[in-house]
Amino acid sequence: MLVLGALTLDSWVVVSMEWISVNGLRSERSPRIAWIEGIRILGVVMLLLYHAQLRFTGYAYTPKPTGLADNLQRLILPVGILPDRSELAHLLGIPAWFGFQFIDVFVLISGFCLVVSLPGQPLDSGRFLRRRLVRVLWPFWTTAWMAYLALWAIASITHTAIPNLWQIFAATTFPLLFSYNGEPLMSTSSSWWVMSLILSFVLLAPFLCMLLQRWGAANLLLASTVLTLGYRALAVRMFDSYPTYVIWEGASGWQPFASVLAKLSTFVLGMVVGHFYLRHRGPALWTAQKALIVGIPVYCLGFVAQFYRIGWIVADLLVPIGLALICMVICRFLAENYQLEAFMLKLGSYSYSYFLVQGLVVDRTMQLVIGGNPVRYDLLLPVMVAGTLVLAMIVDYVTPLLRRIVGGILRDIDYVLVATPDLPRSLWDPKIGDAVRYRGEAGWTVLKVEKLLDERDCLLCQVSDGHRSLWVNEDDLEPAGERS
Amino acid sequence: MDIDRCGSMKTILNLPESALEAVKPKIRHIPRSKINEASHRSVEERIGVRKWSVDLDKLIYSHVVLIGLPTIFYYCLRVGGFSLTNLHMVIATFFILSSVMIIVEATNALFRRYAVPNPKPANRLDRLKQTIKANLGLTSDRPCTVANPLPRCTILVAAYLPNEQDIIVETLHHILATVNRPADGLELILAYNTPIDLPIEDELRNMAQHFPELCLLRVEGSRSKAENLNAALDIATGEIVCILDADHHPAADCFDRAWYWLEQGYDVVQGRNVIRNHQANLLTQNIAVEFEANYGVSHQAKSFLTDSTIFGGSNGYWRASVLKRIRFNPARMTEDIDATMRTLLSGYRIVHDRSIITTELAPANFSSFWFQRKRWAQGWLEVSCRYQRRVWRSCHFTPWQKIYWTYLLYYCVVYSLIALQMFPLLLSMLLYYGEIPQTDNPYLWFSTFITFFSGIYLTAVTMKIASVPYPRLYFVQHAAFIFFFTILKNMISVVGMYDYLSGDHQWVVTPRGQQKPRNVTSPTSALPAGIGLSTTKP
Repeated sequence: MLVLGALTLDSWVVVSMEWISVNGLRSERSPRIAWIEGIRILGVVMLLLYHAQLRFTGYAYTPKPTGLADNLQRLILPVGILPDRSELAHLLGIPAWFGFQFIDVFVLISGFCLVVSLPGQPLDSGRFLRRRLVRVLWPFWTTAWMAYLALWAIASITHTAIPNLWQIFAATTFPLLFSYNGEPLMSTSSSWWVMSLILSFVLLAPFLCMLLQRWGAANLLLASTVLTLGYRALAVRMFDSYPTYVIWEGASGWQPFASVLAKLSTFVLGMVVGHFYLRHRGPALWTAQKALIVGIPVYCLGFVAQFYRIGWIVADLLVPIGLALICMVICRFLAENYQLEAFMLKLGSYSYSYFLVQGLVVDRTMQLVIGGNPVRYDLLLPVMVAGTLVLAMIVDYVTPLLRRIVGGILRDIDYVLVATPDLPRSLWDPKIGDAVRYRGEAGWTVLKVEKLLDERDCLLCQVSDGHRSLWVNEDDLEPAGERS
Repeated sequence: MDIDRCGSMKTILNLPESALEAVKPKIRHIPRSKINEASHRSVEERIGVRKWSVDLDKLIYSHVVLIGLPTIFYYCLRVGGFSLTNLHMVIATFFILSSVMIIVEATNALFRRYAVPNPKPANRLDRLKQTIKANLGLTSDRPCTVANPLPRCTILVAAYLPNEQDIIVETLHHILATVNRPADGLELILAYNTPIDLPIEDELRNMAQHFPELCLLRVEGSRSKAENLNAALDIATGEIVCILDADHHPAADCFDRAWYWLEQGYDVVQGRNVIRNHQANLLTQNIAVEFEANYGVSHQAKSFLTDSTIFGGSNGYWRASVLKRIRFNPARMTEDIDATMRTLLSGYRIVHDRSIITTELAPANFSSFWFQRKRWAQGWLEVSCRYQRRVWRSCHFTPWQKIYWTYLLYYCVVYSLIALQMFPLLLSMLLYYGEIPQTDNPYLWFSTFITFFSGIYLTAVTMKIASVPYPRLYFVQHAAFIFFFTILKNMISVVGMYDYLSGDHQWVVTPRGQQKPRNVTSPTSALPAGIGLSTTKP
């Protein structure tokens, strides 16, 4: 459970960061890159498989700092533990034991997408944080609210346990009961406690963007790498800690490796790659040959490093670089096919919700249907993968509806309770031909102005961006030269 | 008479080319030689046809969410030993509240309220009889007389010509031939838009030359009824402005009756809309009775009970000075209800008079009906979300009005969702017990009884006060179908809500009579468009 929680901690963080930096709500999404989406799809599926395999085998294998040979030997051991499992199924399952490695790949591409989604724009931290927090929290709340209804029904019909009311309250009102270790959330989904860490990443993102501009890419990367390596060395040598995906004994447990600092340089590296990508340079534009020549050795180094205690310091820095380069080559190749490209772009958008749901699906399926039956496990594995996708789609569908309903209720309450309801007042006087920003977006021109009575005189403007024209309230407009 | 006599809307001046291009392409001038060819092509070919089945996926999805999933959920709870009686009673309470409101409104509507004072008989006994009959609402209709001379009046007819070119001439002829002229004169403005030049425009120009009261106003760049009306308001000269749709045929004395209320201090008078093509099919027959119930019973009672009502988008008579301030919002799905709320919130008063009659065409096929009701549902939800909170805080609403308008806005929205929950409750019962067991809970029995009774009672009252002597069969079948008709409207309403909450504000022109529904853009969308010039009835 410890490993599982730690694993999904990372996955949540990175997927959320990926989500918040690129996707958000679909209506507000930045242009997306097909091969990035492809990596995300591959990553979330691998993490689900990893999660499921751990649960099914009772954590039969996790990397340990006992050397390469011992770990390779132990990789074969699960067959002995589960004799009903076929050799072929076991061999096919070996990559799933390392599904956790995509966590750091997500960290890397999160940084990349953060920079790519803000090309050349000065970052408005307040606006950035507001939008990102909303994008992270609403899908979580939707998942939580829907999950508890479903869990209540399942518990009723199967007479199984359900989280108690306090735990339900903690999850449905998060982050009201903010707790770094996420204890109240873990009873519902072992991965949910990482929401607090996701919020930490969100808060850090504008600061890192500012440093990228202020210090430059090379200096920021150098500083963050020194900081991360120093912190990881402290975690291993001084804190007596171990990585999130390892079962081991240590004084500080796995929490030091779940910290933002343990992943910082990977995130910054992604930002730097994104920074160069915007200038049409860097690893994201490397040829397949060059990417593989660099990627495979780096991955191998990181892979071996994870089996040694001293290697823990650098393993999580090397693995994502190598793995991301290899995956980039594969996904770029696949994205050359138009249909596959569209497929990646479509499914990639559900990855955050996929993560929110996958823990619930795997846990309940294992508990209620599969038990320890290998045949059922093999049959239901693809069902879990597809079923989680369907549920993620539902979550993404319902999220904006819930957001509007709850937002409307809160606006009503605010309006009723506020001491003096304040109707929006005109701050300027739009004229025909004025260049304006519509909801922050530049490039609009006022075509017509209508004055209506709505308790006070208010203006309605028909605006056009050269392609579309629409009627909007004056409150949604601001002069083109100003930012509120 | 030339179109330019009234001035066309050429307000787009000194703009960048790109901005002008956003408007210009919407007007496609076709060569003269092509006009005849174009006129022979069906409207469907030119502006597209939509069927209700395009919403089938949303219908299924929304009902799976609102009925299917709750059925499974309730079933699981029943298996787990939970009693859902309390939930059942909560839902029943909503049914009871709505039924009580219907009964109160229907009973109130039995009592007449005329736009003209009662003539007093000389005989005392006759006077007593008149008083008793008046209090019981049994007095008969009578011609209207006004104390002061009627000022100059303006009728604004809004039209989207590709959709309404077949009926507009008839409507204009009817108005010009029927409506009583005030001493200061009558002005009739046809404010229309069209994405292409149409042969009907030549006919309209000829007509305008023969009737000086008729003024044609082609509103360039317009994509909505609201834009057409706003443009027409800029040139209207009457002190009273009547707004009509392209299919509306008002009664001769409409201004005389409306003037009575305007003289009493009201700012808007809403008349009664009656279905003209009621004999077309079962759907129009039901809509005819429904309109009688709405305009003859519900709105009338609302006006009497709360001294406020809605402006339904047509057959409304406005003090021109008020309407020129209120104007219409093109960004709204239902600009009429939006105008109603802004009017009331700004302290103006609206009254309903069911003796002011206009006839109109009901949608005669299911697709038209579907899109019309969906737009109403979307618009009603939009208005509810925007104005409910302001009603609660407004100093222009009395406490009773606030309660009533909460009933009309939020309650009606919530009710359509809550009422649906009766189905999953019963279905889960069926799944669990294998049958729907009879309850001995008197509260549930009472709610069932009063729900069915209110529908039948409303139909009976509607039959009594109907402005048109429809065949009794209409009312009998309406009473028989009212349950299913209500469910159908509820289903459409749910899809409309779903669209609204999903941010899908695209809507469809309501075709007239037997026409099919057409693809039309949202007033706030980017597509080249026309408008849907139909009224909004809750």
